[in-house]
Amino acid sequence: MIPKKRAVKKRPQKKSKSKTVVKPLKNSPEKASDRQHHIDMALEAAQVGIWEWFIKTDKVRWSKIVYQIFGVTKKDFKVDITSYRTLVHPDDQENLAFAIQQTMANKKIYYVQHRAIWPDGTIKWIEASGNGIWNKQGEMIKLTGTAQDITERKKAENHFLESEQSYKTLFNSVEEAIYIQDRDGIFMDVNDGACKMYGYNRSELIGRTPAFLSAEGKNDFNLVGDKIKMALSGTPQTLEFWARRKNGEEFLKEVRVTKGFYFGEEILISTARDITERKNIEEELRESEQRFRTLQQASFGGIGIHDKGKIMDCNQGLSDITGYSRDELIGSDGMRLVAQEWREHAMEKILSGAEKPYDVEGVRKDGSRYSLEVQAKNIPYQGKMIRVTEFRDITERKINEAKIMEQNSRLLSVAEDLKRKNEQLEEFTQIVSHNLRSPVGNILTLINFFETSEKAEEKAEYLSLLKESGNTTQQTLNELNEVLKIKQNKKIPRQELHFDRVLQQVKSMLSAKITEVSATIESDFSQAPSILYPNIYLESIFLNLLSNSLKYVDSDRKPEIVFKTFQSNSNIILEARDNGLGINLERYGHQVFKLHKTFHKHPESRGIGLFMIKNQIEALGGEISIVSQVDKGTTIFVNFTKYNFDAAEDSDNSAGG
Amino acid sequence: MQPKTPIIALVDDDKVFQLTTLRTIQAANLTDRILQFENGEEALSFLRLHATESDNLPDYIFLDINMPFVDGWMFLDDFATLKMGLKKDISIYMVSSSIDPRDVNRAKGNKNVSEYIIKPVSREKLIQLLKRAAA
Repeated sequence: MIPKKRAVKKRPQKKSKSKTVVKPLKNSPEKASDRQHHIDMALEAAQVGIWEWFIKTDKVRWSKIVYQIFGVTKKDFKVDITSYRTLVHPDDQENLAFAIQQTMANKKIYYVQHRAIWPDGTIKWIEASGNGIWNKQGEMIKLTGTAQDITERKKAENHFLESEQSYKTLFNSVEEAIYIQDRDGIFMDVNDGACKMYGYNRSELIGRTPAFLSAEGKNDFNLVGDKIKMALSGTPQTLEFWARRKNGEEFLKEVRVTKGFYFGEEILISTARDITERKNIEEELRESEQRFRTLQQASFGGIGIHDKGKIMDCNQGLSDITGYSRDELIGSDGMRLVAQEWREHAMEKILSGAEKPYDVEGVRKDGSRYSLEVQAKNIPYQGKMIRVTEFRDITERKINEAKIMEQNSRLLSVAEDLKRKNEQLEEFTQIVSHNLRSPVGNILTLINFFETSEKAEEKAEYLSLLKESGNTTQQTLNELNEVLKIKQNKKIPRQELHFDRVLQQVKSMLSAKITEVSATIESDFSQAPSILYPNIYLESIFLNLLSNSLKYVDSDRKPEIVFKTFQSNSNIILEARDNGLGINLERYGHQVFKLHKTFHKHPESRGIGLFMIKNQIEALGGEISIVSQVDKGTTIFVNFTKYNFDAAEDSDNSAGG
Repeated sequence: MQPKTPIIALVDDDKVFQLTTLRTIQAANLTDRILQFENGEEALSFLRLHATESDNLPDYIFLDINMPFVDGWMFLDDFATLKMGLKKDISIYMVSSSIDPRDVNRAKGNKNVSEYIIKPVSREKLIQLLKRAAA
């Protein structure tokens, strides 16, 4: 039992063991003494096999253990150099041969680890050593050595290598920087994360201390020292450290220091994270919170923070708008601030996270309602999404909007009116150019001809034409004067006039003509029986329309004329329809309401009627339009109040003045 | 009657212009072939009817603007398409009392109008115009 104990003790000291084995062999190689026997026993207990190879005879002798190691028995296996080789793993043959050659050449012991293949296929790791015995002539006569099964040890070694490998991988795969420092703070190892953080490679860092990585003057090393001491005493520490990268860039990192062990030594394991950005964000958040609070209190609107309607916080503005105190608001359901019928709409907006402003009706504490514009935004708050909502009382804005709209439409009608006035001015230029210059020019021409003519007959003719031109001029001037009067006399008194009575009057004035063409005249004023209008204008309108219809009758048809009034968009409209000759509007449409324009070769055509009533109608803010088809008839529409602006402005003015 | 005697058409509702122009042309012995139309429509009808008769088509048209029915502008619109089928090149002189720049420019912008003449037209001016045109 004693030798066994000794052998067990010796096992961990593998290198020295081989020496002890070889030494006695060397000193007394061929003695088979008691000592040798003891050694053999010890070797057997230690599971170390002995082998000998006699070079001259090529005989090989193995101890019992060697047979065991190679998985064969003395009975079944005849050992020699060739059979021995069959048991060595083919991949390791070369190694083994080389080791032996080295020993032969250099007379030095070899150690080699190789695999053995047992006859049953089992693979074993074997550690073999060997040395030669030389004669006086320097010839090696024998090679002898040990063999030991190290399969278990190999496995453990591999396991250790693998676990070290996976540890290294882990060490380097974490994004955070990890340093292993000795008690003095010197870096023993750093991971890839640390190299990446600083821009140094491992060899540049190992052997340095944190001072090497410090941003100058920014760290309190006394504090750092204290923290490290505390970490070494077993309490993990967290500290902030201003660091400097290889490129000079400075940043703030958070370091966690823990005590650990590394190959039996007490060490410090530090992990570090760049928290510059986090710090910035914290700073920004603080600032924006501050801003938000200031803004919230300064805002005229009501601001509330709520979670699906439940108010978490609000400003004074919300309380001012709604009439509830802040205490009443906070913790309550914000939905009660919105009118019942709008709640569903508001909830939809909340749930969809809508950010555009929308209008609803708000309800104050006292139950009164107001126009409310709501705008909200979802923001992350303590890990969940909440909603910041602003209430704006837009009652005043709504009123102003309405005012602007009204003003706008007023301006539009002013613009429209100006446009019409401009058109009328152009029309005047036209009239002066054509209708007035023409007869005057004729007078001059005729005087010239009159003066130079020698025939009394001709002179008389010129004179009569002169008279005619004079009359035309005067007539045109009168007509223009009349139109000017119409245009200027907007404040002409109006009275309530019944259409049927006006038509009656006009019919009696034109009774002879009506009888002559045997026209039937129908009327329907039931939808708009009367109008506030100047009597002479309305009479003139009816007179002109009726006389035109009577004038341009189609001899193929019995003349039928219909007068009718109705209301459309609060405007009173007169419709006068006949079945007369009609006008080709495509051709003459642009001239219908112009002065002295006629479209029929009719002795009574003077082209003054429609022009005149158009001026009357427009002067009072109305509009006249025509629909006509040749051989079918003509319909004239008079919208008396299309541009009511004129009338409104006039009554305003007269009321004011 | 000389074969080269030009034919002149007066298109104007103004009977004073018609008469005085007629007298001037006759007195100057410029031509005795004068066509008179009261408005554009009558003139157009005549042109359509005699489109292929170069002997009867006018060489010159004196065209007023302001006429009942078909006025000078409408006449020009129709003439633009009509003239393709005419057997004669016709020169149109626009004669109007209008000094309105819009009328003047509109006439000048029409490629069928040779000249815009403002009424009243003196006898001298008329004779000069006709002689130049006939030359």
